[in-house]
Amino acid sequence: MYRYANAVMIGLVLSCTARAEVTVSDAWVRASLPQQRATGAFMKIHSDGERLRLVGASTAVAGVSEIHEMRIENDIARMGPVDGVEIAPGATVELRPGGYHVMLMDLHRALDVGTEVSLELVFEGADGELRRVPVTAAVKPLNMRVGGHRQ
Amino acid sequence: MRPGRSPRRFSTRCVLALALAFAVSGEVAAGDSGFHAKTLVHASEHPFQLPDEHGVLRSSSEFKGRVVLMFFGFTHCPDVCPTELARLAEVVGLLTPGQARQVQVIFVTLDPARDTPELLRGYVAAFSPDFIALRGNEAETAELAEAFRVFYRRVEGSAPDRYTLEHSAYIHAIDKQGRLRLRMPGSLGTGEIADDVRSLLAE
Repeated sequence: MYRYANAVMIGLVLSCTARAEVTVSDAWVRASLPQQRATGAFMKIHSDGERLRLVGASTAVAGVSEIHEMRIENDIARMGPVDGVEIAPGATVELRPGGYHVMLMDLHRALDVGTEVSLELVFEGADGELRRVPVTAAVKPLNMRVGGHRQ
Repeated sequence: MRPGRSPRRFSTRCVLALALAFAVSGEVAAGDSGFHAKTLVHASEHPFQLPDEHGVLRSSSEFKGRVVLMFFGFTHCPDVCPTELARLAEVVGLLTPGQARQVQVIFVTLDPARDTPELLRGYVAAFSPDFIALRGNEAETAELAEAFRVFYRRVEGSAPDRYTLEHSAYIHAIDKQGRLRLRMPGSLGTGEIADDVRSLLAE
């Protein structure tokens, strides 16, 4: 009987885990200088389970964290907050220069290369529930360049 | 096309429209000029005299004899500005040391209110010890941006000091005679930019 109950428990735990499976990888933040009050965080987000929406972020190093999008329209760089970023089931969305980033504003201190920044991402599930996912981002040089079509 | 309008007349209109667009923009398409970048047909001088990141007044005339690559941006830009400056450092790295000495990269801040000389010193140095920054007051910045046809607009954020800027993402190339010659979009690769710089150096 106990063995059966354990199996049920394990099953429940597994199904709960699977439901909320979101993997964040290659997270990095662009280094900032002492007087610089803003920078960006970039990462790859993968959802195994359900459709998710990245709706917010927070970190102790910045007063405000917002999800922003940069896009080039007629060779003009336009940037601003977005309501959220959709992550389809099974899909990986990359927050990268030339697209989405977590905009960190009102920085409390300079972010030095080689240190790490703890962030919390907030996702909204298909059920409307919010899930908070902790992320550790490496601080990369100010002149960090990511490969891609702009090479 | 509406009924009754002849194809011939339509094509004439097309040609006229193209000619008008050309006259307005003053540019020819890439590939027509031997350059990868868009070429400005009316190569013209846009003299400037602005303080650099050390507060030293720099004049456009002192850069004659060299090719200047100029980018307008702001340091609170997390994305396109550092990417373009990193690309410019890469462009210079693709040149021979002799060619590189004849090239000056200039970052012009569009946000003098937040981009203090001290901040600009650390910022440009993060990309290359040879890059310089120019920082005018609001009026001088607007004047230089207008001369280079650089669009920029303040986009308010959730608090007064959280604004960002929308801005033209071109790299501007000024030839050895001090004339604005090329506008290079972000889609242009660093190898292509280096090619164009070599062409300007060879003139």
